[in-house]
Formats: sequence, structure tokens, C-alpha cells
Amino acid sequence: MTPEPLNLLRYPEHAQVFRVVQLKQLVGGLLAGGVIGGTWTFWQQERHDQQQVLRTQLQSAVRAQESLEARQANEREQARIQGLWIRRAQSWHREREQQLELYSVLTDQALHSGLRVERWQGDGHKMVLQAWLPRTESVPVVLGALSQAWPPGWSLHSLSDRPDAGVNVVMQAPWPVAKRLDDAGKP
Amino acid sequence: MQWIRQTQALVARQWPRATAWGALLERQEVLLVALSLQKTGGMRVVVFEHLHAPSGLVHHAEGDQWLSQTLVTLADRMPGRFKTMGLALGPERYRQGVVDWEGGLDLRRLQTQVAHEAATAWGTALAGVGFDFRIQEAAAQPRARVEWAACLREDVQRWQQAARTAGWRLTLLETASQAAQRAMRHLQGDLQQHWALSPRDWLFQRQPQRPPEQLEGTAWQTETVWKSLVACGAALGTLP
Repeated sequence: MTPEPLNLLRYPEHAQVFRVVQLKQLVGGLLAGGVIGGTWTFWQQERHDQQQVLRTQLQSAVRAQESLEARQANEREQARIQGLWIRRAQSWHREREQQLELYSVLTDQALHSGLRVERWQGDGHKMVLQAWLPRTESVPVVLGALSQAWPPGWSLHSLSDRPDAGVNVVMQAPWPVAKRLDDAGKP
Repeated sequence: MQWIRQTQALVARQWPRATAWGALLERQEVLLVALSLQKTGGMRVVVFEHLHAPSGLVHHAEGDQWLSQTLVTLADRMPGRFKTMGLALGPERYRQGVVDWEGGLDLRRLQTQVAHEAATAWGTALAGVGFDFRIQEAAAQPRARVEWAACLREDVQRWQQAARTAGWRLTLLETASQAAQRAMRHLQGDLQQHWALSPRDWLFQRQPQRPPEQLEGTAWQTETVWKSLVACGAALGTLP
């Protein structure tokens, strides 16, 4: 039997030791990498979940804020429109009172000056009053009384004698221009 | 790693290496040979270089530096690529001994024991020796004789580096006597007739031509013949 030849390169078994060390290092590295990677992934997942919750909360808050702002804008618009209507109603009320006062003046002048209203019309820009007076001297009195009841003032448009008696007089006054609703709220 | 060796043997059978390199390293000289595979299956010496170191080199390190430069110079002139080399060491480069082993089949302990013996023989640390051992008798016996040989690891590393620098891969490092025995076993024909021939006329066979027992008591004519046998045996040792 031939003995195995000696080869002085055989020992120490550095290659095998190196392989074992390498294997140990590899396994250690893999384990360490797995632990680090797992920890990192777990931490990232936790962080992601937390951020998702925070995002949901923020979205809810944003939606609530937007809803609040929309409601407040709606309320402001409603308040503005309501204010406009109130002012318009007040304006109408004042006009009605002026017209009632004008009617009262006309009634009073009918009693004292003999004023007979023949035609009374208004077109939104002016009022025209056609009437009969028994005396010419009563025209300034009637004009003064009407202008006092209707602050824009009345003016004499025409004056003519009637064949039978008295005079025909035509007077006119500007009609207060009603402001537009949306312009009324502007300063 | 048995499968690696089997694969290497299979590959070697399919594509037999055409050239084998071997060298004898002594204190003041290097003998380098290359054996080439013949078509008949035998191997002949095709390169034979016997170089002597300059006389001024005393220290081993200086000799190894010269060896490295010599190998590089030789490699530039040698054919072939991916060369492997077997290096045989002269007696002053190694220590050997025998250990009586009673530890059974615990090879790890045996390895430590041999390393300790080798380190003691060299007077260095355990990690400072490169060694090998073989059990001369069956390990199942209560006592076994273990033969070992060792050299300094720093020398091994230096020789490996020198061979690598020159383009060789050192695969075998052995004692000169072991290399010489291998050469004589593979030498074809009558040994005594070969001593009269030039080493370039020797013909080796891949298979051993005689058992080791026949070599006991064999003498060679000159020291030059012995050195040539050592270098050729180292080259044969690199073959699978």
C-alpha cells in the first residue's frame, strides 16, 4: 500500500478555517442584517400607521374647517341679503309714509283750496299731478304744501284757464329712484 | 471535499496536463525541471535548469530573493500558461519526526499534537509552522506511529509569493527524499542503467513502475543524479 505523500502546504488548514470563519461571518451578517432589516421594516410600518392616523385626523380637521368656513360664508351672505331686504323694506316703508302724507295733503288741500285731482300718475321716474283749482292764487299754496310732504319738491309744469271757471294745473315731482338691491349694500 | 478531488481527477483524465513543473530548492542552488507528456503516454524532461546562487548570499531571505528573481527570469523563457509547480526542500529547509499516537481517530487532537512537535522542533510558535503528517499504522490500533514533516510558515509564504510572481501556482511542498522516491518509482526501466544517462533521457510513466519496497537499499551514483530525481519527482507529484 502506497502511503499518502506529505504536502507541507496542507496544514494548518487555513482554507478550511477561513471557510468556517467566512461561513460564520456570513451567517452572522445575515442574522444581523435580518434583525436590522426586520426592525427597520417594523419601525417603518409603525411610523407609516401613525402617519396614516395623523393624515386621517388632519383630513377630518380640514373637512370640518372647510365646512365651517362654507357655513360661515353662507351665513354672511344670508345676513347681507337680509340686511338688504331690511333696508329695502325700510325704504318702501318711508315711501309709503310719504305717499300717505302726500295723500293727506291732497285731501287737506281739497278741503281748503278746492283742489280737484283729475289725473295722478307715476312712472317710476316722476309723478305727474293734473288738477283743477278754483283760484289761481291757490297754486303756490298747493305747491308749497305738496313739496313739504314730498321732499324732492314739486314744480309747476303748466297752468291754463278753464273756460267755465278756475284753472287747470299740471305739477310734477321726481320719483325717488329705488336703489338696486345689490348696490345698496356697497359703501 | 471528496467530490472536488473526484471532479479534478475526472477533468484531468479528460484533458491531461501536458507539462509538469518541479524544483529542488537548496540553500545555494535551484534545480528546475519540466516534464512533458509524450504521445506514447510517458513523460520526458524537456526543461532542465540548474542554477547556483551567487556566493555572497548567506541568509535564507537573500537566497529566497534570488530564487524569486530566478523563477521570474525562467518563467519568461518557459512555455505554457497556468503552470503548477511542486517544490522539494533540501534537508536544511525542513524538520521531520515520528510521534507515537494513542488518541485513536481524533484527528483534530492529532493535528494539534503534530503542530506542537513541529513548533518545538523549529523553536517557534504553533502558528509558525507549515506541516503535514501521515499515520504509518492503522489508527484503530491502540498505538499508532505518525510521521510528520514541517517547515517554517514564513518560508512557505515567501516561496508561494515567489512562485506566484513568476506565474506558477505552488501546489506541492514536500521533502526531497519523498520526491526522489516518487521519481524512482515512476522511472521506466532499470534504475541502475538510468544513472548512466543524462536526465534528459529519462522516461517516466504516470503509473508507478515498482513498489516502494524495491527502492530500499537503492543507491545513486552522484549527488547530481539525486537532485535531478528530486526535481522530477516534485514535478510528478503535481500530476493528479
